[in-house]
Amino acid sequence: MVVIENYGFVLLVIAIICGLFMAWGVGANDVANAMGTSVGAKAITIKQAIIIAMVFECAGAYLAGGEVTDTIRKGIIDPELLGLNPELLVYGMISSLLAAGVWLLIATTYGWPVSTTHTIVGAIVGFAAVGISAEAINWGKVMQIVLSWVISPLLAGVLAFVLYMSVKRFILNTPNPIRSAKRGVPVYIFLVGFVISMVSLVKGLKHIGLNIGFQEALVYAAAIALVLTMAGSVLVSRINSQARSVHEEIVNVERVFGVLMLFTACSMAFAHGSNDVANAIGPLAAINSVISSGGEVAQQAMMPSWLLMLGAGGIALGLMTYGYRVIRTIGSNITELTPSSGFAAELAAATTVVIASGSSIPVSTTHTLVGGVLGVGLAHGLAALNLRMVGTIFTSWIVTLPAGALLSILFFYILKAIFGVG
Amino acid sequence: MSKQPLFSKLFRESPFVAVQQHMEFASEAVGQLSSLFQASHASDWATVEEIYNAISDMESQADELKREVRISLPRGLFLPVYRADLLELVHLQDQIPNKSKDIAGLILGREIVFPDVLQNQILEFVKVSQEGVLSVLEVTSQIDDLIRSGFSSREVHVVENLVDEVGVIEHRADELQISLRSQVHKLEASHNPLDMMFCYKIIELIASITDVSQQVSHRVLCMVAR
Repeated sequence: MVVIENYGFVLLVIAIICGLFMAWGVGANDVANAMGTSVGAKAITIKQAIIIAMVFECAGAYLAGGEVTDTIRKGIIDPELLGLNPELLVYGMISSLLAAGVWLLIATTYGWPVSTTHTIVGAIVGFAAVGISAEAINWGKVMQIVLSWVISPLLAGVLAFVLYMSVKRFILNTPNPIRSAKRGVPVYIFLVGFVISMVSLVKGLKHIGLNIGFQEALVYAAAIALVLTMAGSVLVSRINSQARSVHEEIVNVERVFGVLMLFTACSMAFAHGSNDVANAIGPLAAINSVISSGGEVAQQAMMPSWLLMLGAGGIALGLMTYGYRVIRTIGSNITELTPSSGFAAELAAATTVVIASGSSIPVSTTHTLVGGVLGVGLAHGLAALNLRMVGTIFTSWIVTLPAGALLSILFFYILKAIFGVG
Repeated sequence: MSKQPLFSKLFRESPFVAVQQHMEFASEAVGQLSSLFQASHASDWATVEEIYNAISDMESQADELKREVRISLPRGLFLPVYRADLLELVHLQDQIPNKSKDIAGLILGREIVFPDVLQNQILEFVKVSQEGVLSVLEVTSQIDDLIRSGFSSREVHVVENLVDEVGVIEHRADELQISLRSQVHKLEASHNPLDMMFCYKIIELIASITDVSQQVSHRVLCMVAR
């Protein structure tokens, strides 16, 4: 208690700086992966990608990011054991942010594909298990989270496979693919709009004060989806239906799917914002609730929405200052990723991530997207996949958790030494 | 490498691009043969040598691409076609620049000049051979569209039609070959037998280019038929 009284403000400032830095990192490095499929398939330009990312990452973070942030904030650690020493939570959360930041810096330098989400969770579990007590951790929740890290890429893969097969059957292999595309794509657009709206409405908006029932949400989601479908249909109708050759036909079909990819790019940005803002703001929210309540670690405390806005802002800042450079490096060498195949990967990944966000589980957006791409690869054939990179991703899982934990334990003890206990 | 997002590192150059580029080199090599025959008829051996070097250059670049395809081909789970089919395709394609180089090498090395009376027919024969190769180039350049359309039956149909065209050209080449051979046969009595044998040899080589073209087109068809 004493520590909080004396140093509370300083610690909060440190925490905000660390949190903002993490959010910036997400915007600078991670957003490019979320937009990768759309940019790689040339469905949207780099400029469009950045605008979409700015708007929808923020929207996703603010409107649908509350649940996952709550998990990071108070779902992993059982606060009862902190009792008289709430400052330990503060130290730990700051350490986690620092650990994640440092690990990401190292990984970026060596080009390793590590996940922010995995790092933060590993860091929190690390400091709590070693610095406080192994009983302080809600192991059930942790197991659930780790399991979801395996399930989310698999789920995205299966969804993507099914989606692409449906495209092949109902659109590409029909006698008039352009007509089938013009009729079928609005259906997919409806799907995108409906799923994303549905999960956000049902799960996400509590912290703004809106509490919508399931049936109400169904209606609203359908309405939003319908509006999007109509907008999409207008865009689709502008594409030429006539084709003088099979080649032109194929090009036009891809153009129709390009419109669809515009919507899935938005959904991907939204999903990414909703799940990854928690990596920066979750720990910050925990610290804030301890310090602003003068030392009480309350389980019931509400998530202040200004924190989510801060996270969204940090992500936008990262995107503006550095992220656009990273997005630009997504090569034009992804020749085999077409809008018709890319959208399947994106929609599958966005759906999976948004469902995870709605179930308050932090997952790795990037790894989920990779799962989606692999799913499409199995259905469509993607000879240009660098399977060794996929292997590297899996091994990075194993390394990241202990790395994040060790680093956060280190920082935890340093902070404890500087600021003391009591 | 580290500045690139994970997403870029997940992909690399598609092997199909290399396969198509390889065919382009092959067709360029064959394209040089007309001027080669014209130069040899004028006994302009300096030009012939230049052209030979150009063909040789293209042949080695084609070899490079062939090597690249072989090395970089993944083991098959994510290939839209059978790995063996693709490797066989490149192997067949590679015979085209090889034979072009053989022809050029023979003509340069022995300073072969075809009898005047055969000159026009030979040039036409070479032209037909080039048409065949260009036709096959169109077939292989459809591979992009095939993949993009998920091997839709309509696109496969397009490929089938193109393959038929190659067959038509090959038939014409066969007829020209028969006619040329009979012409040479008539000249046997009045010309050096060794020269005549090499005439036959070169006619055979030119014909084989069209044969290989047809084999390549059939191999593509096998690859994509599902």
